[in-house]
Amino acid sequence: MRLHRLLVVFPIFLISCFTVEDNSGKSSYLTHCASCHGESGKGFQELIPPLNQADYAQENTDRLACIIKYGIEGEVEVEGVVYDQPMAGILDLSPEEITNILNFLVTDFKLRDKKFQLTEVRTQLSRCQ
Amino acid sequence: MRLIAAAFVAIFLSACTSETKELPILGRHDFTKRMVDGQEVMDTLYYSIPDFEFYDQDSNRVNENLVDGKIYVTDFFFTSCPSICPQMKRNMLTVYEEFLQEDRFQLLSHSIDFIKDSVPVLKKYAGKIGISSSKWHLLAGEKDEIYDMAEAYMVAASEDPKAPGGFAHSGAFILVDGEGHIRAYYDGTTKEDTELLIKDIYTLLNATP
Ligand code: HEC
Repeated sequence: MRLHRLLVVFPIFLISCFTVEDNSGKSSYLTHCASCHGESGKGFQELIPPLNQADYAQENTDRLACIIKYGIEGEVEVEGVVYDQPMAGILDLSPEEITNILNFLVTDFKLRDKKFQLTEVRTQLSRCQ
Repeated sequence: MRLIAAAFVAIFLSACTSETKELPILGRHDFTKRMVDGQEVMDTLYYSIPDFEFYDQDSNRVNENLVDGKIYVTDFFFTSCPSICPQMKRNMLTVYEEFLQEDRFQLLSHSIDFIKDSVPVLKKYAGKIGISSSKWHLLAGEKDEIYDMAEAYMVAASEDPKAPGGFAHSGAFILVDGEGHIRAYYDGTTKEDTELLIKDIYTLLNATP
């Protein structure tokens, strides 16, 4: 009987362990990005480009940490629409938070197949122009 | 026993009345005294939005006549606003789409960036959102006029070098009835309040023929 209960409780515990990590990327996304790019990453009309299964982000995964931290301006074409409205960088995000946000984009917005490692994000950040 | 029954009825009734939420007239009202049959009675002069005049994205003149007898929602924003504006515009677009076919309804968005947001800039912005100036007016104006308007609606708006984008403003959506009375405020950055606003617009529309 006791063992039974433990067997039920234990997997729940494990699941909650994993989701804590995932949620932090999601909650950072909701705090720092969703007001503009939308909760589901669809962007907003022709003012703000999409991130969800969108070509620009998928083709520029080697620059995303820099875009998040230092912003981006000038014309960018995303899914055939040209956007031209500066995005301010979010300077106070740590490499860890950026990694979590990018991994949220991987899991929920199909950014790419492979998850991001902290080292990869650190390397990107050291090479921002 | 009878007391308990009465209490129950009272609770029941109060629950009923809170369902059909009233939209009170907000603001600092004035009172006048008047004599009726030798008795002194008080009349309330409800606070209402003063006359105004601005130009929208298509250079249409927008003033109190345009909204006379119409329910409207107003807010303050600016096109280069990096913080709460995209969320506000996304929510406002929901309201716009809901009432696109309703002739008794209008939307007025005041830009508080009197330097950059000229009529052509507003026109480009409106084009990118894909909205028509027959329903949703993006308004340009002079500095003093804009800030006077914010004061008339009793919301905050100011130049602020420390704020993102250089201006600070309230994220409120303000619901105004056909007589220029402010009826309610909503947090324009949340979906929940936007849904409530839509509900309340229907309430006002249904109350006015
Ligand atoms: C204040 C609004 C705003 C916020 C907040 C914001 N962005 Fe952006 N973002 C934009 C705009 C506007 C552009 C288009 C830039 C341009 O036209 O040059 C953009 C472009 C991008 C791009 C490149 C174009 C694309 O769609 O792939 C990426 C990637 C991006 N943002 C990711 C993010 C992430 C991740 C966050 C949160 C950490 C974030 N942004 C927060 C407004 C914002």
